[in-house]
Amino acid sequence: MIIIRTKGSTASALPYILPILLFIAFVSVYPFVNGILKSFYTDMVFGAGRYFSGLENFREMFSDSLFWVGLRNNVIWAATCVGLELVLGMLIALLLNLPYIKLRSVHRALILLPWATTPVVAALIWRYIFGVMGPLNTLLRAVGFSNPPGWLITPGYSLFACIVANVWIGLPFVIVILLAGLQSLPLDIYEAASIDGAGVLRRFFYLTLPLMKSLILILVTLTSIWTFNMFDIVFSMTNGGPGNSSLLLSLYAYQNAFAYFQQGYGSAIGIVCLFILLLPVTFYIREVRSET
Amino acid sequence: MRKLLILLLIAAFGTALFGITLDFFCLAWQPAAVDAIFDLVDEWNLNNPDVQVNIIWGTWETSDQYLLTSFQGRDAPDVFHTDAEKFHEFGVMGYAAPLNDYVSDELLEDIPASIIDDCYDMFGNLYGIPWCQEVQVIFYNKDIFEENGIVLPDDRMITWDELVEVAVKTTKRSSQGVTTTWGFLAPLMERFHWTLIAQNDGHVLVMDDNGKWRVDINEGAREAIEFYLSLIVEHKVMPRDVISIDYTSLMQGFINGNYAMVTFGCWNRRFLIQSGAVNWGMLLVKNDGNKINASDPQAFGISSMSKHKDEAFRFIEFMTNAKNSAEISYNDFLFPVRKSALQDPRFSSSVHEWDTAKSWLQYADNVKPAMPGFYSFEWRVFVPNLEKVILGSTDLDRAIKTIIDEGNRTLRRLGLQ
Repeated sequence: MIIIRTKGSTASALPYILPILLFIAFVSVYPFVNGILKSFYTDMVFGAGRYFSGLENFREMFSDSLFWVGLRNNVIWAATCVGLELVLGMLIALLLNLPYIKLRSVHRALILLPWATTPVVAALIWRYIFGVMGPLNTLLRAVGFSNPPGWLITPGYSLFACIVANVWIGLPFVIVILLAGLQSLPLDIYEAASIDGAGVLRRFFYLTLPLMKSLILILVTLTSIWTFNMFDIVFSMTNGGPGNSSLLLSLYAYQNAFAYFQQGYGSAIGIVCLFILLLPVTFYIREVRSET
Repeated sequence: MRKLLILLLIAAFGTALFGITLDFFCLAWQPAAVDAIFDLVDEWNLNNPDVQVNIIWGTWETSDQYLLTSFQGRDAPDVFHTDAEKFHEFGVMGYAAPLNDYVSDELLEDIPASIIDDCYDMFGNLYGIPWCQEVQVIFYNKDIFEENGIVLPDDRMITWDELVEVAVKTTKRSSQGVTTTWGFLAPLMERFHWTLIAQNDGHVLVMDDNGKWRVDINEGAREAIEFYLSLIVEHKVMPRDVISIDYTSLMQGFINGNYAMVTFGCWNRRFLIQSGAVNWGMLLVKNDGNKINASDPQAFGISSMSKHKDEAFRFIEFMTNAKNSAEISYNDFLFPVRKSALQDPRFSSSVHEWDTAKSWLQYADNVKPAMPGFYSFEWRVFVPNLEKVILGSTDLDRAIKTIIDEGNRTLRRLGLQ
């Protein structure tokens, strides 16, 4: 069947899609444009008030030590979370893909439970677990560690604790996607490889990974974007402390906008995050296009 | 009967159509206080069918964000409740309505000047009506004190040196050197260090005659900060847990005997009474003759965008009258600010140490600098640098230099310089 697209058919569809386009413009485009415009204003809330300052917020940012601390933490946060989710996710997906695993759908449903938990609720649970007197330290003391660390009040450990919580939430999604990918792989190639004497590791590195390359790349790109922008976990667990050692850019932007009365500066941080994320977004769009 | 029903329906419909509804943003969270507020609002609504009040419950942790976004989104509640000193900020930013034309002399005379001053700006505009206060105390574990033979003076006020002495005595370590009981815990979020600074005639933020602020840490403030840090670093009677923002975990530690003393507001008696698991008492710290201790008064105010300011103030007058402010405060384990309300005999009872806490109100004052934007300075610059000293990432000299440099930069951006 040949479909002929005409200008007329698009124009006749416009009245039907216009309402939803306006809604999307209002909900997405307007705040986005508003945020960009705000980034060019400085808020002297107890002085001159809000005034147009051009690129002053961006200049201020590059000499702001907290911005660089946040950026460094963000890179560590995103890289570690995505890396752990990918490695652990692949291991668990491979386990679930084993032919003798029964009730795979039940496992899949149970695995999804952390993902279904509200991030703030999950963060509060993990905050309790990692507390100075929490169950983790109680367990460590019971097995002989007489002086376990204050996970949430020690630099380094605080970001690590937040990473653990975030991986716990994000892992299910990665597992489900990788499992679906594994189950779509052709079995005859593996049979042929087995006959040729390829062991488990060789089949994984020379067959599974190359065949799933596109899927893994898209997964890494999406989880990187989501993880980079995460806010609720760190806000609820450590609020960026101690000593700003777990401060992320999303949290710093929030603090500036809503706690320090610096909306313009907070918006500017958001714009910088957007530009940083354009890289993986561009990569994602290119990958999707090359797939189609 | 049918006629009566029709008349009631018309009245209800008419009220809904032509009556006023005030949105009241409230931060009370202790169960008895919440019930008391529900009862008072119900009483108001019953007696004022043309001015109905709708409660919007908020939390202390998110109140600033909620109010700021509400004001900027032009969807603010008519009446709002928060810390008394924040009304100064909201007033300067144009979000809180001046109340000078509403407030009566009787009300002003009934509230101590030191408390209501927090709600004024430097031009004499009043933005909030204080209604409750507390005094920050040190809760101590009576059993631990008894085990260590510690006897407090009759007025239960101890000096800084005595605090160290008691904390050293009550700090216990295992044979492997692990501390099992810490003598003292003063979480940074409770701001005990500001009490010490005030008691030592210290200052961190200074305003000049033109109303401009600068960061200036004098010797008194430095000594007070050094004393606070010495409890952790030198005397090792206070843990690094002071950095924690987890109130529940810290209080559980006190109940479990992990801390012999903790600083919290006197409202915390409710938590200890409810748990019933610790034999507790209260004491205060002083610096020779200087007995000032922290107080955090709360207030009500009106949004400058409210279309019903007259009615809103009538509601505030109702909530803050002597009887009602006493009722809410008592249920919140706080004290009313009105002198007439403090005459309520419940506040002089020896049960749950009401009488002791009341006798200490005379020493309670807002020890934080009265600068708008103070919280921005404190949480962006001051506290993180103190945390770094506590964690050993930097020394006090470098931390103070950073606080001064970054602090003045923050004040400049806020328009305070």
